Amino acid sequence: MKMAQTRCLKIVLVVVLSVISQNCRGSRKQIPRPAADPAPNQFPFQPPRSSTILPLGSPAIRPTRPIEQLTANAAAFTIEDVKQYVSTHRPAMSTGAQGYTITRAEFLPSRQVNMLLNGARTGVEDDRLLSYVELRGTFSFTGPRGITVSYPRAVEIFDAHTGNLLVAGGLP
Amino acid sequence: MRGNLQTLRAYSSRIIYLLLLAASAFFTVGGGSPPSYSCPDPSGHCYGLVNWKDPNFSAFQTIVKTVQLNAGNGAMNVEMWFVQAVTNPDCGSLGTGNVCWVEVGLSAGADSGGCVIPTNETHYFWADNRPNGGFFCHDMGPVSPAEFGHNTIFGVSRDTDQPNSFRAFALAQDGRLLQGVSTANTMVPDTVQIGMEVTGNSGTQAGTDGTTFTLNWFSNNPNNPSDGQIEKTDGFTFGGFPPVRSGWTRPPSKWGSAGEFFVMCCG
Repeated sequence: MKMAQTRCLKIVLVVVLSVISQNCRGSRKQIPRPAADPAPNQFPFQPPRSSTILPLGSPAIRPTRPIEQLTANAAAFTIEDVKQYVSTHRPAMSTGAQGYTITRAEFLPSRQVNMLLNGARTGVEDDRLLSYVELRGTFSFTGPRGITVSYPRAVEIFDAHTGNLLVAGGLP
Repeated sequence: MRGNLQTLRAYSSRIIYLLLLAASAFFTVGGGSPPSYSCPDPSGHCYGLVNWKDPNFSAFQTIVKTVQLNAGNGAMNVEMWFVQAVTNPDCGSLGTGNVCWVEVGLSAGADSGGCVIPTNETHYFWADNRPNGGFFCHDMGPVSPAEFGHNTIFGVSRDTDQPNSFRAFALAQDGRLLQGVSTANTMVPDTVQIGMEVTGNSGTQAGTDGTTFTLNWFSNNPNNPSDGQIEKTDGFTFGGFPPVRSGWTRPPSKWGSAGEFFVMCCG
């Protein structure tokens, strides 16, 4: 009987150890190796002032007007579409955005939006039509490790033709 | 005989208990359900990074192997930060950090530390937090499929064309250049960080086996940000424990320009 018990225990021990070892093997990964094409002849790189690709952003507001019918000064959606989107999507990057209100929403060319950003720029051509939205609340953003900054105003800037969200952030 | 039966019954219950324990270990370690994690940082973010300090930083560049990010139910960034870490009350007086920075890299997902990007898309981005100027994140658009697996040069440098400005850029392997300028930015950078930032608690993944940073280059000449050298010190590493694993596979103090820092998460 004693031998049977010992045998049983041994079997269980083997099963337990094999399950654990299999899982440990599965979760262990090889340390990645770099690709072989670091373009060292361009390094360090001196970025030219031109030949920059303009930012595309991420899909956000769905256009309601066909793009082929749009002129440069017309948007592919309405300000009501913008407000609807912003009120149903938590403001970009804000950790504590509760009970925020939309205080401004309008279509403006990029050059005018630049004047609302405390010296920052949208990064797109001056004539590009944008949708500028400003919110009031408490908006916190994280940065390098352990760093959080908070602002009383949040801003979201959409491309007026594609509806993509290009820039988001907070203002003092 | 009766005693033997009782002993056998007692052992049977132990065996069942051990089998249950084994099954629980199997599912906890990752055999059955996606792994979940939590981040110990007060902001709820996980970091794996290396940090260098120099009171005169004017430029920094690094080469990152471009991999597909999946943000799971949070966000993931593989990036570099160019930072004024000495407390400056003009850098977000309502926050906890009072720190200014310019950051550039790869991002996926949406949370408190990056742009609002679809979870399963990897985008180039840059962002800044400027003295008295606010914080802005610029979504430069998706990485093209052909760029995955190849290296991208990321950098931030003082812009010599205009005062108080910094240029953040990403140069993809095919020559595609994405860049932005942090204007009206009076910060004085004294710290550089490279590495990974993760939020959420499930489903995040960077490539199949993480990524690497190599050829870290810096300038500390405030008048000429092109005048620089390869970083040959190991800096201060932070993290390296789950869910973000990171560390020097080849410390620059020993390998020089071939120094290599890896980050991986979270499967």
